[in-house]
Amino acid sequence: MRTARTSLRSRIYSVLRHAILLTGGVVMLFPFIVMVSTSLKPPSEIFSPTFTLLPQEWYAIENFREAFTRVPLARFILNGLLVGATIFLFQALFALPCAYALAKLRFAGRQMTFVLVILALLIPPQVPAIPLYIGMWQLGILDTYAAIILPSTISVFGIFLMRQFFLQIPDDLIHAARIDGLSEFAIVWRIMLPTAIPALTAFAILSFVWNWNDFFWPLIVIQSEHLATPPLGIVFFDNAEAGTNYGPLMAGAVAITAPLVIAFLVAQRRFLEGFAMTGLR
Amino acid sequence: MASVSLRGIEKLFGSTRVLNGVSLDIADGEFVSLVGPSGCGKTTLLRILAGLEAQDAGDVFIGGRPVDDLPPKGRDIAMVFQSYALYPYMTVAENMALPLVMRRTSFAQRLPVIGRMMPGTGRTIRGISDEVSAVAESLAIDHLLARKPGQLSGGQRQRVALGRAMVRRPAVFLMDEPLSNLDAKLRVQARTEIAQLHRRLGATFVYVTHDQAEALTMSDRVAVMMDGELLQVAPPQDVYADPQHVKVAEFIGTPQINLVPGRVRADGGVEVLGMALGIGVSLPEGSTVSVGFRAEAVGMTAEGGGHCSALVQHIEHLGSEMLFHLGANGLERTVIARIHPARSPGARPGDSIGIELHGQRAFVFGKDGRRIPALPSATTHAPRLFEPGAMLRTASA
Repeated sequence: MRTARTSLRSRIYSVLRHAILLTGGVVMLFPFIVMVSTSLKPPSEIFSPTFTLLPQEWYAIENFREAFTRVPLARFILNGLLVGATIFLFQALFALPCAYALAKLRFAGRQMTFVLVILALLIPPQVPAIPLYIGMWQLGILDTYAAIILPSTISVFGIFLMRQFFLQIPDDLIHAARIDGLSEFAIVWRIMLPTAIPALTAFAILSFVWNWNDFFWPLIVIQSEHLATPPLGIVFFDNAEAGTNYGPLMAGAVAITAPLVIAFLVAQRRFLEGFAMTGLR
Repeated sequence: MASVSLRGIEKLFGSTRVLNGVSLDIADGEFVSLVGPSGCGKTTLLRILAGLEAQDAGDVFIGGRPVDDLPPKGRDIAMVFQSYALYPYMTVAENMALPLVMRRTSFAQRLPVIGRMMPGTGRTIRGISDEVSAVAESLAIDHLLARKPGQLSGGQRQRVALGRAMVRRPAVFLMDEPLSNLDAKLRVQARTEIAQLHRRLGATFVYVTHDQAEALTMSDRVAVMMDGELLQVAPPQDVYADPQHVKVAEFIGTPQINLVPGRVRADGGVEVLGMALGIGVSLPEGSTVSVGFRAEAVGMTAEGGGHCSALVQHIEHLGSEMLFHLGANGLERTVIARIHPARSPGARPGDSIGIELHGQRAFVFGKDGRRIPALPSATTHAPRLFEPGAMLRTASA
């Protein structure tokens, strides 16, 4: 009798819990659903007063063709890949040795350096935007790939994340490597890097998504259409003609969102593992 | 091959003094164990010897050459770690080959892809892999070469760690509790293997352990370390049979040595519980000393005999011997007697017996813990021999 009642109670709570989570999920997903739905509809249906999930008349091919032909969408996507990958490579190149030094080497000022890293985490990227812009203008590299890549080559978040991960690697592993004749840099690349792959994967995804979606900085330094990253490219739809054509615009948005969603779904397990190991989850 | 010398090594961690002027000379090809309780500084000493830590004072010599300014790789040493410290994403073969690869190939030859195309790389790599196979075969791990450390058992990992140390043929092997992660049975087996390995290689071994059994069974000499100081460095039989410090006597030997308070008489004779032991020391009358008896220096007699009467509290049957835990009148600590089963008095827990302390086999320690030489003295206590059957009578009475 008693057990029946408690089981009924726990079932009610369970239903309630899922209902709340489900509502949250729908609220989060709704814009994306509208985006995908709009990208499939003809202009007449987009502004119709009654919202339908699926179009009465399928217009997907026309919208996507329009999206890829009116602006060089493929070029934007390639730009995004190039910029994202280059930035990540540089970030890893700097973050791994820095994180190793902060986690495993003993030197005067280590604590202070780490405090500076933490402080740098607190500075929003918009704060140094104007000095950086002026610096790049003086170097004459505005409106180039370098202008997008250069300010992001050092990621304090990457240093912090990798340091947290390196802290858990036993010191004996490093001692063994020193006895085996590895230099400190060799330890970073041959011992720490392979051990840190899960954490590095998690950081790669975060870094890539951030730079793929970044609108602010490319908007400031890029004028040429052929150098635009995907979010910036979407803006060119707006400028192209007098009115905004939402069908192709949403088709473009789907095209630039899809690669990330697919990449996350593929790597999701490793991504979460990486965070579990750095203790940030 | 090389000798090792440590001269006045000091190390401070913050304001804590971990090593307090440690000096130790190890001969070429010798097997020396550093043994002591955890936190005594033995691992720190080994790391200083390896060059992984810098000492605050003192010098390290390997093969007669000062190595204080040399990094670990320049010291011709290899180390086996407690955790084995195998590189987790490399195969056993790659783990074992790494020390050779780092020494025999140039930076350019180690680069991926390009390195393979450099002249001579192939030959060097093949030579290394032959040597790795030979060492793996000698340790019976050649069938594991393609596996990763995560796929190996504890005993196998320990062998791989040994193998990685061996491939380079270093002059000195440093071992930091390499057996403490193995189960008891495997540990005894590995003990023999390491001792045999030492004889076969003829290299100098410095072995750190907190397990006295490991230290006593494998070493040529045992260095007993306490609170950052070496208390005694001697062959295994000597640290057991001739301890120079009360802490050494307490640390070495199972069961722990029986320590009883003693007093010096006017004639220099030492008495325990008012009874002379038959040994004398050159200390003033009335000095208090601590007298140590190994479990085999304690005998049992019928009640009323011996030095004092005691109650049998507990008996441990260990097959080849029996340990009697005896609560003696007038002594704070339980006295343990080691008796051969054939000579067991047949006492049971709860029985009253007499304890007989063999003064000739006792160690006398002064107030500072140092051993005081003792000589046979005139006033001897004549022990009453154990009468067979006496115990049975008292037990049944």
